[in-house]
Amino acid sequence: MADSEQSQNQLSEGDFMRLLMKNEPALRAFSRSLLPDWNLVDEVIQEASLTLWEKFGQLESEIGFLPWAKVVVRFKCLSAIRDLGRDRHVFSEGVLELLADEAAEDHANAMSALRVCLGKFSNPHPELLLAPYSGEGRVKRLADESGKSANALYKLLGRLRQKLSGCVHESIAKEALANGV
Amino acid sequence: MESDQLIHRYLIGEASKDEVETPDRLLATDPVLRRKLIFEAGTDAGLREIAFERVSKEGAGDSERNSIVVFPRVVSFFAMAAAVTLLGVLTWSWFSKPEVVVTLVSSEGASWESSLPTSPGSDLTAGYLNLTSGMATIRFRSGAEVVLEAPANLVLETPMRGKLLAGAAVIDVPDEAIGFIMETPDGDAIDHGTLFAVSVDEKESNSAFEVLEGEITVHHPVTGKEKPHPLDHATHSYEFAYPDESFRA
Repeated sequence: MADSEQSQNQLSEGDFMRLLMKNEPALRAFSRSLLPDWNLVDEVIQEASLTLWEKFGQLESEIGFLPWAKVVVRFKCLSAIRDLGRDRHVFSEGVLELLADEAAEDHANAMSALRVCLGKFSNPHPELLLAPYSGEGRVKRLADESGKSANALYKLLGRLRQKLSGCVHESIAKEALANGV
Repeated sequence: MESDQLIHRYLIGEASKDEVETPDRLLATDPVLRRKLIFEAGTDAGLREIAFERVSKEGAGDSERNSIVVFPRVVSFFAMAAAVTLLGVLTWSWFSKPEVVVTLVSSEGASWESSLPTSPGSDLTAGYLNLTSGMATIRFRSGAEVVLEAPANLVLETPMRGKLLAGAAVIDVPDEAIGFIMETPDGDAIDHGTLFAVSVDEKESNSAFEVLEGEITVHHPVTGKEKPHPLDHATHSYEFAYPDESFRA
């Protein structure tokens, strides 16, 4: 980062790390709406983090970090999808542009609602809902342990996800109503 | 196949070429479906975040989370059937309880609007508590104790996190619950072992944090700024307000 840029915006390396860590979940959620799998999301976030670090001097204030970072991440996502070529089945660029324009979820609010909703499920359902992210083969292991087929568990997972989404949706709507929004 | 299922298959990377082309056409013209996809992607990201948090907690030796839930197994040894069934029922009934987030310790003239149990001594899972009159004391499983004064609206999230949407609360955090977070619509108070008060005024759209003992850090979600609030032999008060109507959620 150039010294002149550093002195202009008065944001330090520590500020960058803090802002990146704070906003990373929201950036991952944003990338997920554009990219077809988590491996690609992780690659894009890694690349985008480097670019953000290099360009950090352009940022005028902390308040603008997330919108600014989203522009960089959006560019990286679209570029990654172009590189995928025709082997992968992904949405058209026109649709991805629309999704990127409209993806403005309040990630922090959604997380609160998600935690509450997940807590409403009786075990072992929260375990199953988190299984796809808890290491490779976790769903299969749960299937083996329960004596059920992996396919049956995936179907159950699909139904649980629908129920969870309904709960999160309702919670966000209730909170918006409570806040008079 | 329904659009919901197509979105789900796309997000888990199982969609075929045809299954991508169909929603692609629909997404191009249907803003509601686009919102749905964005929402589902957000849920996907949130679940992954929670899964990672749990894995890192387990790695840090949190035995509470180490109780990997096992689906009931079929047992075929007749001689052991009775004992195993009894054990299975006990194990299942233990594991099938949703995680307790708080215990309702006491209440004085309290009336509630809540789907959660509201009698003193009740163990409560994650959810919403709306105290319409009186006072109530709840203890989070982490040890953090919260005295609520009506009218108050509190979201119980995890043993280490709550969210005060409206009303006033005094929070007493013992050493074992250091790091306890009380969110408000416009600031998160992160506790470093202390006694502090929070009040949320919905009408004025602001939150006030008052340190009564010890130190907290107040994090402002809009500006991203954090302020430590120690106690220097006097009560400190700090107030956040929405700087501009446009910042409101």
